[in-house]
Amino acid sequence: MKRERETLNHPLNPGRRRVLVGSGVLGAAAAVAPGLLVPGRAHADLDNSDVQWTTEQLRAALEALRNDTFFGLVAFAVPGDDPYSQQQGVATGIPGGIGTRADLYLAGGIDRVVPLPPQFMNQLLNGIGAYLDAAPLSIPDDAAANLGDNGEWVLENLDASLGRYLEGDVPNSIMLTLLLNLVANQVIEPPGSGPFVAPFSNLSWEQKGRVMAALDGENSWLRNALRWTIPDAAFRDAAPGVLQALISFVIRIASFASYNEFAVFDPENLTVAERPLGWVLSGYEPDAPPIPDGGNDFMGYYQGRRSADNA
Amino acid sequence: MRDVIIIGAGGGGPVVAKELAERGLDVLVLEAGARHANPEQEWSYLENHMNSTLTGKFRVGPSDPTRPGWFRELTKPGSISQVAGVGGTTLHYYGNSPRAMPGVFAGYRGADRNLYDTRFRFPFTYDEMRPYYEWTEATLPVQTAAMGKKEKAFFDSAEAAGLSPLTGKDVTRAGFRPQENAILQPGGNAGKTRDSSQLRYPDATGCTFCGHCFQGCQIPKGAPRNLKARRSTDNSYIPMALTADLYKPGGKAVTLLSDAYVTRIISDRPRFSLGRVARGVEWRDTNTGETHSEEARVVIMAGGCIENPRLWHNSELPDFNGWVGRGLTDHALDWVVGQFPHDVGGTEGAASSSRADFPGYGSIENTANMPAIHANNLSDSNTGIRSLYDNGQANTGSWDGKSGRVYGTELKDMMSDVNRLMAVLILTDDDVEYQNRVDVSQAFTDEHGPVARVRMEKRNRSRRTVRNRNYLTNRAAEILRAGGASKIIRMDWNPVLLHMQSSMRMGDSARNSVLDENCEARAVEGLYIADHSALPNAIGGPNPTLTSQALATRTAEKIFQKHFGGDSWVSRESPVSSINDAVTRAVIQRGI
Repeated sequence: MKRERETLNHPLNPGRRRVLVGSGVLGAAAAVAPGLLVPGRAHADLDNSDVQWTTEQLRAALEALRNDTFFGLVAFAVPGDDPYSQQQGVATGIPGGIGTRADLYLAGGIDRVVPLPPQFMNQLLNGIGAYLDAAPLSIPDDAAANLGDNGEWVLENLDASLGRYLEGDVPNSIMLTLLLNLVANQVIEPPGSGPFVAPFSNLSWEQKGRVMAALDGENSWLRNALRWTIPDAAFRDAAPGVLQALISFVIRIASFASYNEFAVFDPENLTVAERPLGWVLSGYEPDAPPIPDGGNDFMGYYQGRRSADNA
Repeated sequence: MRDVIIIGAGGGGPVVAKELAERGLDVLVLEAGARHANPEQEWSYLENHMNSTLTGKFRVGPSDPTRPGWFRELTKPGSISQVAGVGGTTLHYYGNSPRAMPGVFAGYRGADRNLYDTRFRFPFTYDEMRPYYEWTEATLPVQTAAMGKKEKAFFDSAEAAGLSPLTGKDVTRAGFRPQENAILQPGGNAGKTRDSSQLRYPDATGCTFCGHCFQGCQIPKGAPRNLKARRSTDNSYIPMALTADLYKPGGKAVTLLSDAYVTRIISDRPRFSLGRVARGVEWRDTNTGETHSEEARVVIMAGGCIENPRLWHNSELPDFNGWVGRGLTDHALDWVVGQFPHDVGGTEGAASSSRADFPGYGSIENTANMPAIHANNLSDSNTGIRSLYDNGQANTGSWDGKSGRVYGTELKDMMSDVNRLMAVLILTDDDVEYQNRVDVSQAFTDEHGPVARVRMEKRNRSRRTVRNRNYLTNRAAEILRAGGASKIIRMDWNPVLLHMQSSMRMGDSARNSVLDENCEARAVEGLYIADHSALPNAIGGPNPTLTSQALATRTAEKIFQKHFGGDSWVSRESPVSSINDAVTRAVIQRGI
């Protein structure tokens, strides 16, 4: 049964439009509304159900976007022999962070590292939208035209769905995903293309570095973007530090995740079920498991001294 | 009413607890985190399982790992490496127990006296402190560290760089030395085999060279708790505090409650006084959510440099001079890594058994690390990703290229054999600075009230702090180069808040200190602080735990004298070692 078309009372804010398109949300959402972008299909044939997303559908779409983005992020940290490493032009002949599933670790970690309240998250994304309104991405204002006659309608509905989604419990990893992809589109002109849904993952290794340069550090554009656009004073004051802590965490933990044991942890026996890939990559404990209770490296005492002089 | 309530069972609280328990006082210890009563059954040797700041056993958070950790707001990029739980951050410390530089104490007359943080010295002399060092060193006990491959490589490198060995506990000139560690050194089969069947107590005693200090010390397997190798307080002072009635005539065992988060210090304001008098505490059971309160004649804060200011503010205690939470020092930690063409034992043995000291500048120490921590540490920097961007901050020096995060194929290459890495931790003698502080967040609260907000202005440190950090990183790189490193990288870390001191500092001036010369709060009678936050400065750069513990011993004496009419004991008695047979029997008898 067709639902009635909803009518918005105001035109879509250009900044918000850029969030939807530039962050990859539209591309990810299209994947869960398969009728939307099928080549050759007459847009006039679209009905409401084709272009409306439930919160659950949008959540699934955003999680897919996050996974795609984090694969690109982990390949950036520890390249391997995977398609994401090859896409960035820096790959190696042996597995890297993606082989260790550091992406999963990263997503879970980011969601736990800062307890951002929903209202904080919503203000943050609105703030980014407001900033983009003043400092446009290289996305044409008429981007919706690419979607055909119903383009505006698609974006409006997507925006409404995103609004509903943001009212709920939004994981930090989703917010970070949107940021990485937005910045990917902002710093790389014209925006790149490639096999992945996430714009970030289509970048070269050097281009990913430019994204990080825009986010990492105390004078990043993000700081300026947020300071004046978040209405709540306490949130406005806290946002730059929280976001910078998140970015710094992500860059650091992508490495930590690539070399720790989480993917092969045996919780029953508190050991590893097999030798972690990160240990293979680093030459650590070649005979593990099991992990021995000691080593055989004791060589005595420097100059035979067993104690220090007490004046 | 209790005699004494102690808030926090980390590096400092258990020291006061044990000392006052030996005097027969009625002591209640409240710890917000978990009690790790059975390490051999609960712990592993694994980095993420134990040390994830989000879900690990050693994090700041409730006992239940499925519940979120306790958030602290950082205003700038950085990380906090603390642990909640019985043992606190000593659960994953390296046991390094050097004394403070004598130059940071009142009355110091050495030729280098102007090199130190001269505005914020200890309010008493090094000579007064020495007996408390000796008492604490005997109690833990502190021993000279054994040598393995990585120590030999470091000593050879330091010597090649022109340094000479130091042989004393009191450091008055630059040089290198084995660590003075709160670790029982290897005995029996320890350090000689990787066959776990030969490494059970008593076939092996002390450090087995397992290489997992950071994951907590549970070895030798089968040893009584007080005979585990590393002397974190859960292995030393806590077992003593819980058995003081058994091994010490006149002693009284403390009551220890874990999962008890103190949310308020109860105080009265006497008539005609602006100050307050401590009366007790309120706490919340982190499992049930129930709240409790109890009164005491003396209250001691020992929750650390971050939680103490938070609790102070959330208790609405007075802050007359504005120094509550101010003056936080962190040793401006940094990391210099050398990649060698051969194995230098980068993951083996006790985590840190060798160091070099540079009075007036700070210290450096060689460390062993498992792969993920190595990778983590190589990816942290305030100066961008090497070869990609530098945030306008990159440093050059005796290392190769610019400082910065190691990423991509360079990271993978550096990590290709962790045993070829020699990692040097930089411990800067940093200044007490008013700007660096802990207060409470305006945006975030949790079930215990507004959370702590930490502000460490890494890019705006004092000229002396920056000078010292650069000096030490250059010296570290020179040592690595002299030892034959083929590639040397300086990270220029973001603040890594692992060594935190002086956020509730003691001092000789009421204008710039929270505590008086006896570590009693100037604004709240009967309220004391006994952890790193009470330190008046960064102690010159050495690792702070021993100094905090010695100071806490002194504070225990002051409390016993002022509030309970007792006498001092450190100058008149001999300490009982935590590995004394009587303590071991008591620990076994009580089933600890």
